[in-house]
Amino acid sequence: MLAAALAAATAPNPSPSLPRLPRAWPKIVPSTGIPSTVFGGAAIQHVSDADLLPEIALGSADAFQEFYRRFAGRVYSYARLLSASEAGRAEDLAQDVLLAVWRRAASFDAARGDVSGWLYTIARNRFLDHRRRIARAREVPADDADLARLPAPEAGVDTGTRVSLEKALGTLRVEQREAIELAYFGGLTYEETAARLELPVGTLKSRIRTALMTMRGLLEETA
Amino acid sequence: MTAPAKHPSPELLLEFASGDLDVPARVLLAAHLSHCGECAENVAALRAPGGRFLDALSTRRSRSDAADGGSSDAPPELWTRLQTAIAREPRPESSDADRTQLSGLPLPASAWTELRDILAKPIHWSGGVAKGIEWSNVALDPHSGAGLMAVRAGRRRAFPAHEHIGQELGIVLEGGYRDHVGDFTLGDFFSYEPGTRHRPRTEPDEGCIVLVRLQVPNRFLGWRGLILR
Repeated sequence: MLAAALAAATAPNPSPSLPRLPRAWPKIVPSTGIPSTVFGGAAIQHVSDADLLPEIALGSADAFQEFYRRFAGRVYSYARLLSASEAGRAEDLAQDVLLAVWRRAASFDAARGDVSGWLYTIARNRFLDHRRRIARAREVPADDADLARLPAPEAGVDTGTRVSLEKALGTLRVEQREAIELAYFGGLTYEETAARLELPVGTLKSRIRTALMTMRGLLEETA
Repeated sequence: MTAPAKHPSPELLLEFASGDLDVPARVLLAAHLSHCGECAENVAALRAPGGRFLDALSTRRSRSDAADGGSSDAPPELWTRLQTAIAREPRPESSDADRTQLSGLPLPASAWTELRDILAKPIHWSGGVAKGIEWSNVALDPHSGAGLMAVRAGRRRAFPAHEHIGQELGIVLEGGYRDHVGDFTLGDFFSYEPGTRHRPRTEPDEGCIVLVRLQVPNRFLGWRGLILR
């Protein structure tokens, strides 16, 4: 049982009806830039991604710390991609996304997809909200700056996922892939993308849905 | 429990999956998905490529490396800033179950979580629109300007006839109603386009609670409309 696995790592809840408050936060290890596992012990590292979220919803700092260790790198990478590599904006966005994980952990439901998919939804939602908040809605530019594409592979990148994703993207028609890279992976709204591609917004959404369903089937095959 | 018969459009499910919806719309979708396995499966399919895209940006070779304490691309300041931000987070005043009991709104935890930042406190029910019918302004999204309103009616009640000036999205949280479109029961999702006129009614043996997202207030027809104008 998860509860048993975590028993040694988490403090008892003083009030069953209220979430635990965060406990003292662990210190950063300067050499790696990530928090040291002070409280979690070995047990928390064996908890699945999906099982961490109910613990975070209850206010477990240990579970959130472990979530950070697993996902902060890719959240920050995605934030950099959406923020056109502006480090300051990317850090603000990554913080906002991870704070939303802390606040909205109870909204995770495995029936609606895995943790990475849930996190993708939150990341893109926070980015669009950032833009709305700072009134960054803009003229639709005529260049490729808003396309969100996988950066060139680096040592250490999860190559299995990357290869299967590129394979799935490779099966799409050019116009499908462009729509996905602008409005689904990227940071343009559907309305902005439709204007850019000179399409009715309904046609654009239908194109993207068809492409995503195709990709999902291929990703499952290669999983 | 029977599955809902009326669902959000495919376009709305896509917007939910890709994070494009405002808070009121997300709350309605979250409530519908808690009743509807078919739509939940669609959302999972639509999210999957986004999740794999995020995974492909991972700076770790594999899960086992992560378990061994693999390094992260995130700057060290990010963790420090998060600690500060979370320490400032208010302690929730009540649990989701308490909120349901206090507000009379039977929402799932996933919907309460979405509402957290913009929830009206306390939720207050008002009458006066028609006998046996109450309404409550649950939340207002400051970014989109859309409101979330709950309406509850007893058995054998008729909502005042009204016209939708803007699009209205909604979900049945309890009981059911009927109008010219058909019967709407627990978990059913509805969407009324601008220009729609109708007069929903509850059944003799059952009242209902609905939650709706409104961008523009509806216009009452008949003598109520004349008085309000």
